Amino acid sequence: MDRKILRVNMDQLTARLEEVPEKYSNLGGRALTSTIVAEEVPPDCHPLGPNNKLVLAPGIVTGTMAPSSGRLSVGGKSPLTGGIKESNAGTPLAGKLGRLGIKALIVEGKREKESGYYLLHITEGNAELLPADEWSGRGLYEAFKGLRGEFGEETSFCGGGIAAELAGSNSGLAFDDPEGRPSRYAGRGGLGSLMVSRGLKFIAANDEGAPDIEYADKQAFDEGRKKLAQALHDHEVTGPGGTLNSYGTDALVNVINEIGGLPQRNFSQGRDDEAVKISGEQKAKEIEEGKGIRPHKCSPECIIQCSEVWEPEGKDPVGVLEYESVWALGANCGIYDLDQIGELNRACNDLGLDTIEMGTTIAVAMEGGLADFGDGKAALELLEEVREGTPTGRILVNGTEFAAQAFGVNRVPTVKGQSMPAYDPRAIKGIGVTYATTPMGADHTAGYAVATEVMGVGGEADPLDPEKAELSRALQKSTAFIDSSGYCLFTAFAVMDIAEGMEGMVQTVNGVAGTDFTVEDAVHFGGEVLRKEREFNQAAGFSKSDDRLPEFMREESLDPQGEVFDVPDEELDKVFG
Amino acid sequence: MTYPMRSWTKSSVRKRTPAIRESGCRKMSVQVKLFGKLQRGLGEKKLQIEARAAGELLEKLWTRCGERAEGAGATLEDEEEMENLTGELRKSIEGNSSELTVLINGRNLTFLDGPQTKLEEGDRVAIFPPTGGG
Repeated sequence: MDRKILRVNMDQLTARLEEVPEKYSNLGGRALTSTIVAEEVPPDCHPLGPNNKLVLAPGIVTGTMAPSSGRLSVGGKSPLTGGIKESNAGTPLAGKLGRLGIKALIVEGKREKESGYYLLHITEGNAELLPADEWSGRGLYEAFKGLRGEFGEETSFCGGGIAAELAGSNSGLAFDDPEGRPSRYAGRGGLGSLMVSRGLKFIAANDEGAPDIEYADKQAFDEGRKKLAQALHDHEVTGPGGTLNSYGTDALVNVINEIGGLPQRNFSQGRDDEAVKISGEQKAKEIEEGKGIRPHKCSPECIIQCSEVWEPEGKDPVGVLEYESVWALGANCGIYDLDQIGELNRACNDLGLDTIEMGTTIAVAMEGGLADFGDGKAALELLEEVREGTPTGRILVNGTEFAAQAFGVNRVPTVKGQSMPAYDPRAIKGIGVTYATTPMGADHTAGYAVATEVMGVGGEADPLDPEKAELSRALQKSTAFIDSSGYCLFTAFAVMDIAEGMEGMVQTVNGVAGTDFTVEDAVHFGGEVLRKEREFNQAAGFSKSDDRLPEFMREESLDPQGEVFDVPDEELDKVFG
Repeated sequence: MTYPMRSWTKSSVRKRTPAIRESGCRKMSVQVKLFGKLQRGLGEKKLQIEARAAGELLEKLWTRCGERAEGAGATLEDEEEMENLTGELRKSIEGNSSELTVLINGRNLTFLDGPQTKLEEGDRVAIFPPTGGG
């Protein structure tokens, strides 16, 4: 089965298959979305104007039974940052698109809102656009449930919510989990509004009847798959009963809080003893007592299974409460109650909002006087303002930087317009170097220096040492490769420590794509992805001065470590210099 | 190879000079917080331990682990896991790379004076098994 590009034109309401140009043949995931965006989208276009495009691409091995390989990349020019964006999600939809032979899905053209919303329905050998207006203005839990009822359990979905309909630059793209909840997100960068502004509200795919994936070298693939699976199994973080499997990503709350790097109340402090109440240990205990299901997987291929379903008695099920969401909607808003955080997370999922950006936005709103820190009920009411489309809601839906300006707040934790995730760079400096220099805006996943600085994965580096250009660069390159392969980034915990795992990962890519990459080649491949992304950003108007953290992080020291972000500009410029 | 394998980052590790601390002879009573599997392993979230230095504190924890492994109250699912825990504690005691993260006032022992790090009254000690997430 040759993979194809599916091009959907929303002006003409057409969907047609195209041959894959030779130059794209070795690409997948982030490498492919970023390459197509760089080639087809004018860098100076308006992100919600007629010339921007949304590109989705399963990873190179996605659709196979390689372990933890169910990732789907989404790209475009970001409505939040104004730069290139790739955000990826783990979802059953990823493997279905891979098995349907969709190497990339490009959505172009733009319909006015008045001319209605559509759903793109993809099945083996067919793609059609169907009216989807009936779901406009309604929550995504209701919509996904209704769509699943209409199209069947074998169909997977993604979609934009009310936040996207409001053209919010903090609107994520929601994907279903295996049971159909809109709880898996390509959340960052406003890609929901990019899709919905084309007139496309949902994508649905059913891979029944699709042929098997073709392998360039099945033997190499199988050998690699076994090596990688063994490494994931053997590592303390990724293995059965390991940290991720037992406590989920929220296992990080306690350790990041203890080192003084868990931002509290809009990045005004790095530690609070209350944080233990929202930790992975506490959540696992509450789940064991009946508040949900753990472990759980985001996609059928996953063997790490770090996910869960948070479902307290008498409440509607949420899906996973990730570390980032628990922090953003919790500690960063002074809220230390998992039940309240669960409700806030559900509201974000329902409205189609990125939990990180929304949590940091609520925190600046709290600092700006719209609510008190710690008031979970008031935070929920702010989210309802988004649902109702009030003027306040329309401010909140546009992200942290926009809200801070509207509410007169000067402590604005953003880079390139995107808010920082759950690690304060004054206490963990390498991740600050990544926040500053990645083409994505503040994004921890782009080069997760925390792994080395705090967890000792891939070596050890003092989190307070400001010389981190080399570490961040190496991680950004290897991450760009992993994001292109289709593997979950959490496989890195194992493959950074177990060399055979990394070899196996590269072998599986070779087995599918017919390449002969070595591990070193894979890192170079990642470097090329970054080069294209940086070139796009430069053409869009970004310069060195955008590769900086906000001023307050150099001026205000962070308790309890008493540190400022003291990485010199020259060190930041060395990352790609 | 530029991929940050353990060998690569080890060679480029830079440690900050630890703050000079009073090296008194009095044993300090320090509260030790345990997380993740360690809570299960030792059956406690917090322990009060008297010690002058980090190594001595870890040694006492190691002994306590051994007692629990032999006692009826052991809560770990199997001996292998307890063995792993005591093995990792031993590595930390000897100043070797360990899967455990030992924090004194939020600073990793590795970047202080290792097991020789002096303790003071009221120090905040936290010990973690391997962590991950993001």
